[in-house]
Amino acid sequence: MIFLQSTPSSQGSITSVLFFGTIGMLVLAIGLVVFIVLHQRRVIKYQMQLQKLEDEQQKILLNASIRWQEEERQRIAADLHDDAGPLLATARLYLNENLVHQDINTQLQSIFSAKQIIDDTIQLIRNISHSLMPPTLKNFGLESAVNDLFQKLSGSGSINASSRFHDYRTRLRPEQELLIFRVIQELVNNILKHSNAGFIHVTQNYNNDKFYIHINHDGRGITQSDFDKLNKSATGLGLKNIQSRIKVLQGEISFEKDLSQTYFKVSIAIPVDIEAIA
Amino acid sequence: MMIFFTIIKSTVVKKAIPVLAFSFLIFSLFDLTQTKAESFDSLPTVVECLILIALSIFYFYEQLTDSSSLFLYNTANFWIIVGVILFFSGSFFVFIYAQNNAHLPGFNTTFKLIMGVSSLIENILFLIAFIIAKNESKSIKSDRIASKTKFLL
Repeated sequence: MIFLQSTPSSQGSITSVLFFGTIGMLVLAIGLVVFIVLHQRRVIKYQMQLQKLEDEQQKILLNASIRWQEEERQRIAADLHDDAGPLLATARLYLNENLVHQDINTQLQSIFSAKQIIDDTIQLIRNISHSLMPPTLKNFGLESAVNDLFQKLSGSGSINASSRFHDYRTRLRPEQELLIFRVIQELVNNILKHSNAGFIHVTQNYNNDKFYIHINHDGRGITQSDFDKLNKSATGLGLKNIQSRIKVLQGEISFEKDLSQTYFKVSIAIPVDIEAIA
Repeated sequence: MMIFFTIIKSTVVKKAIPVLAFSFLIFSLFDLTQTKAESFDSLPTVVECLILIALSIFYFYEQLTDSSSLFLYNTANFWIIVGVILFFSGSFFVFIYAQNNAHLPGFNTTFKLIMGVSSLIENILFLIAFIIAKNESKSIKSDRIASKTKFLL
């Protein structure tokens, strides 16, 4: 502190150093505080924008989900009204009151026809029920349901479809299996409709408590940026359904083109609590 | 330093604060024995200033990096720290020069002026902090009453 000692001649300079030093320090401190406050405001504004975007995205997903439900209801209603309704009405015609006044052969013929129609109706209702909840999925699990789906696809001869589950010793919860199955169904449906692919290959594996599904195909696919764009647009109901199902599963989905640029790849990662399942 | 100990989240700095406080106490006591009783002792005061300014800057840095702390200026702690940093920044140069220049005729006036203004700013900011703290405790109290009433209903 010796260098700060002053002579009477330097008294004026000390006063000015004190004033300017103090003002400088105060300006620095106030500048720091103002910077903090402005930064906070910017962060709040940014977070609010982010929240707004998230809300909008949520709204789009919710609308897509409602629309999908409505379409599904309409489809079931149409199936019941257009197929089951006429079949049962025909069966009723065969079994009307006049039947008792007719000869035994005609009666037997009518009963046989009615029985045939009722069997058809039962089959139709079973098909509707299976489309809502595939029995293979319910009874034998995701692996069997996906294998079954891909065998049917391959059997059609229009596409080479194969699936391979590498590590599926413990079944997921039924609601998780159904959601994953619906996502795979929707993706496969999209590939068949839009990509003109020659093959689809599905693989499954576990890694770091995550359940992975990879779908590869050689058609015209989409990348992550296309998926994000379609997700934000009014079109692409199927993709929005996929996104909302993945969100329910708290998972992630990514779309990418293979490094060799020959095929597209869709990867789904679902966090799985193995202990909870066991 | 107690307030910094309670509001700073970093465990390393939290552990360092008591050590720093104890070291500062030892240093001040040692310095007390070395200086004349009648003069103003600049060294420990300047060290104290630097420690408190550094802790205040660290608090701000912590708040900036913590994305969960929003509406910082609605908290009492923020205004207390602003008061501390402004007071010690304002009086920093006066403390440096006080020990060796107290005998100069105009120095006392400058000293009193700067200290007075700094104290005034500090007290106003502390007042804001106390008002915010009072409102905070009121709202917590009313929330508790509301939740209790909800339970009873």
